[in-house]
Amino acid sequence: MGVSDQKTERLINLTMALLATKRFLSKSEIFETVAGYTGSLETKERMFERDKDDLRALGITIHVGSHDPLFEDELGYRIYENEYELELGALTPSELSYLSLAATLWRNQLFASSGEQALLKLDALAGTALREDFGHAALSLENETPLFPALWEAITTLRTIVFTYRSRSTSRRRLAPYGLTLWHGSWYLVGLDRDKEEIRVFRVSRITSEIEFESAPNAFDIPADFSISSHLVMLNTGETTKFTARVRVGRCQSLRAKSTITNIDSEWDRIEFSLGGNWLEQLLWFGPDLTLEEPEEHVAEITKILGDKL
Amino acid sequence: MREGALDRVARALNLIPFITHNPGLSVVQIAERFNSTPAQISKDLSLLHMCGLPGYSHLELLDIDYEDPEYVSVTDAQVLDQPRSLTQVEALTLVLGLQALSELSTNPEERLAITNLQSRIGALYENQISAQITISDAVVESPVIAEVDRAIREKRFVTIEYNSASSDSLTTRTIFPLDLFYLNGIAYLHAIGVAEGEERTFRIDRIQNYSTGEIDAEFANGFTSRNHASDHKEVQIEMGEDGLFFIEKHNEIVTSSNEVGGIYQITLTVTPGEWILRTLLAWPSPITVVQPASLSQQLRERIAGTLANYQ
Repeated sequence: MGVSDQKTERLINLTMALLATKRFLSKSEIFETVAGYTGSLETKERMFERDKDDLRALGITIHVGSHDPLFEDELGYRIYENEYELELGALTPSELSYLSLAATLWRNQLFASSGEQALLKLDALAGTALREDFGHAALSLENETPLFPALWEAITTLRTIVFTYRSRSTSRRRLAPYGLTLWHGSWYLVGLDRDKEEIRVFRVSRITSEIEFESAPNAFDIPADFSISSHLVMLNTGETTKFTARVRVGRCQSLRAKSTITNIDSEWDRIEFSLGGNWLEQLLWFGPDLTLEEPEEHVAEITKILGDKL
Repeated sequence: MREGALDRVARALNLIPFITHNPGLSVVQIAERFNSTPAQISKDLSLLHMCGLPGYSHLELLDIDYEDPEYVSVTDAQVLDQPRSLTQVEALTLVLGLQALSELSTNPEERLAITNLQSRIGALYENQISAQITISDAVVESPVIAEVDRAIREKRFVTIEYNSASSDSLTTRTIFPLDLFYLNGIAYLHAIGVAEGEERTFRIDRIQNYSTGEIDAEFANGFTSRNHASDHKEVQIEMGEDGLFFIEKHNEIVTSSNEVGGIYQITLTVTPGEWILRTLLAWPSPITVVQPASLSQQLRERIAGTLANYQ
């Protein structure tokens, strides 16, 4: 049996012993009764310290306390059942199907594998490993984001990061990452830009380098009043501009729906409407069916761009 | 890559409750669910067979029956009969997934059930992280979605007034709705167009009016969907620096791209017609269509025609 097998076996035995006990087990009791602790006392102590760290790394909480309130000289260890076990109560078949769907929506590697792990636990809870796949809703929630696990680590451990960002120009950015949000299929990274000392939003798909960790963990605090949504420009409709345009009768349907319309002649109508920042693309869409009349500077811009495109 | 002892312990602790509550799976089936190999799962099982509670007599050991690889069961799981609690990231994965589902849901009861479930899972862990990883797409409170959803369940024809962006026309058509889907935050309806006798996709937010028709439980039976892939054509374009943003925005039609010295060469796969022509026209910077020549010609004429209105 290899060292790795021995270690695996010992960790499982330790978990089971600490879970089964109804009182704190002292180190000496553990060394005497749990299979796998061999060698000198010093060796066993070192083994046990590492094992505790390993189980904690697996997310298992080991409580330390005294099993005799009158004699607190020797500490003991145990794992509480109610913390170790998944306690979700009974799940109805439809609840189970919502959870299955929720677990399998993801394309980023971290959530995709976490979802699989969560499903294994749910199927263990409900005995539903052989169920047919649930649900009919076809959902595509996100584009693939290979950098997601690194960003998650930086955010959850509060480490500052450095990356190359490609927008109108390409630059290195130093960031204290505060959070991630998914909008219209893309992940956006929000954080404090350490060179500009301002909160900035980055589209993750425009990060062209790996994520480099710049600091050790716990390098910064997130302000208590920080909220992602207040920094997302795309959620604010922003300023709109009033436009007047001539449009061909019967054309430009989606604009008409939000316009006041007056008829000019059998060929043309005049419409007034408001649009936000993407007005240019929206109006160019209609080609020769629309002629912008006002405001003047927008007319100048649209004609210049058409000239450039020709 | 050699697997660490910790990964093995994590899997082993999940294996026992999984098999306990799902007896009779084969080693191959178990391996599939655990993203592992049958050989590895067999090794895990024989190792687990040696584990147990202090005392380690046959009464205290885990009792696993895996002699028949087609039928694995756990006779005595000792203290490991229940699955482990969810990790922080597992719980968050479910919570965010449920949020997305509740946004998609059209049935108020269903939405309530999903939201309740979301708070049940959320209550399992207390952490600020749920405020740091979020979904920003807003809940779509569309009356059309609810109506369409009902029509799908009742197998009912509906008549819609649809504002087609590509043909810039408002048409009234009767359709037989098949399913709703969500792509990158936008809701779509997949349906059979009765007049065309073909499947069509509609954006929910472009349906302007709506009325329900007859029920026909049999209509979709025997309907074979046509493969539209044969209609697709390759288009090659070239553009400057903001090719990056074009690729990002039109990700679903871009088949390849290449940047040399600030010039982007992009290959698209599209159905020829108004949509691609207008998409290229509406892009606010110059785009050269390398091929097909016919599209290049059409685009040039469309730009010139638009510009002529101003002269």
